[in-house]
Amino acid sequence: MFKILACAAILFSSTALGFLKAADFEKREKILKHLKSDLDFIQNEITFMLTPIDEIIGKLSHSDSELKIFYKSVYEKILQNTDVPVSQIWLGETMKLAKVLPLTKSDTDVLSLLGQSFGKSDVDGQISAIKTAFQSLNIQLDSAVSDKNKNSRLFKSLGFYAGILIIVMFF
Amino acid sequence: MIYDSIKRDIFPYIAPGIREHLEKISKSDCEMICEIRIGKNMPISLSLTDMAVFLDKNGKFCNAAENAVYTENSDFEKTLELMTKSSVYAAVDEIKRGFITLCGGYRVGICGRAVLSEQKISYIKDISFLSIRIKREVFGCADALAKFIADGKNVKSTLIIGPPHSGKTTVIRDLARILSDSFFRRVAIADERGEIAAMYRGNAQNNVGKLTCVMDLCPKKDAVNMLIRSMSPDVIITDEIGGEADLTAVRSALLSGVGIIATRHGKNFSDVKKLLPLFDCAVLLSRENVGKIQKIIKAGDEYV
Repeated sequence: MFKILACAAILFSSTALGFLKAADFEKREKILKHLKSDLDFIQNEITFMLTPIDEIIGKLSHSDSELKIFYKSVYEKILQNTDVPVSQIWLGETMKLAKVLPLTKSDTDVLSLLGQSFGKSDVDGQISAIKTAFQSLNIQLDSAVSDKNKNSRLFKSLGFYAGILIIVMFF
Repeated sequence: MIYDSIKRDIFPYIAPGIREHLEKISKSDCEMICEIRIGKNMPISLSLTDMAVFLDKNGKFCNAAENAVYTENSDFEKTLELMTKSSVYAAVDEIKRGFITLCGGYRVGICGRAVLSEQKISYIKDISFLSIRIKREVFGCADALAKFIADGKNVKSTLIIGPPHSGKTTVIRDLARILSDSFFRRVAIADERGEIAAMYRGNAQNNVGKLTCVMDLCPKKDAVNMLIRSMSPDVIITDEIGGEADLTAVRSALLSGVGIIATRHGKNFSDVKKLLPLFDCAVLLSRENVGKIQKIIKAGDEYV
């Protein structure tokens, strides 16, 4: 009886781990899609409303974006540290992002480069920077979709069969 | 106290590398400062009432540039970023006019390379110099003048004349506040240069009165027409009338029965004799004390 329970626990745990890892690939794709939509929002706010960047981030912090927590964190720091440039705060929070979200360094580099462009130029210059970020993001999104297709089912199966292997080896 | 205002309203917009030197200035020395001037790779300088000085690393005024603290490029860029709240694009309308307004009403003059589009300035890029003007609202400096021009049912159309630094803008700012809050007149300000009310994100940073509305950064002719048509003002206040377009704006207001108070550079009434017939009275300010009236003349009075 104990053996059966142990086998079930091992199989369940390893399969769950496999599914969690596979979910990371799906989540990465979802986050990057939301980021594209957020960039669109930022571009429109700048082009048509000339909304200052701190207000834009404030609006994004109340949105349904997958990066809502990131924007909220940036916005709170902007309000608390009025003598620190927004670009510096943005960069600091971007560096913490990879630890909490399933994003690669290349993904966060897009955000970092975008943050460095904030406040440096007029509307045309700012929109150019956003368009550059869009192009980089499209490349990252293609890579995320490809990784998901390649690895999602692999990790799900891997988790299950690893569990079977452990059961066979030890029992 | 100027020191407290500078510390509260200006220091948060200055990069730490520059701020640490400005913080060493004594409170008594701060009272003399009219402008803080920061340039890329240039010594930090301060405009006092009658001269300019450099700032040394101990926060003392000095005359030798070699003893002064120099502004690093990175600190300058950071300061600009703080002043525009990392949104230079949002401040383009002001930047192309050569200034930025900070929260608190402080005016920062900027120098850089002008970008032209169809012979007009569309932007100033490569900003290399900032001049932060320390504002000094002088409440009550227009008390006597307000009583004179608001005497009766209407507000007398008034031309305020004075040499540079005689406090013309300071006076009309205080006049707006008094006419609004003490005489309950509907005051409208055509603030073409943004110096009277110092609007920041839709809020007047200077106290111009609770019954006062402001048309900000709009050419006077258009501002006056819009204010007359939509805001029913008792009086329109505007600064620095000069060209034909400004005079058209004045005539427009007068034809609509709205009083107008305007300022103009001049050392005496003779300098503005062509404008005098348009107004009910004219006031000449003294350079010695801000808002001190040298003389008032009514329409038709003789003058020297």
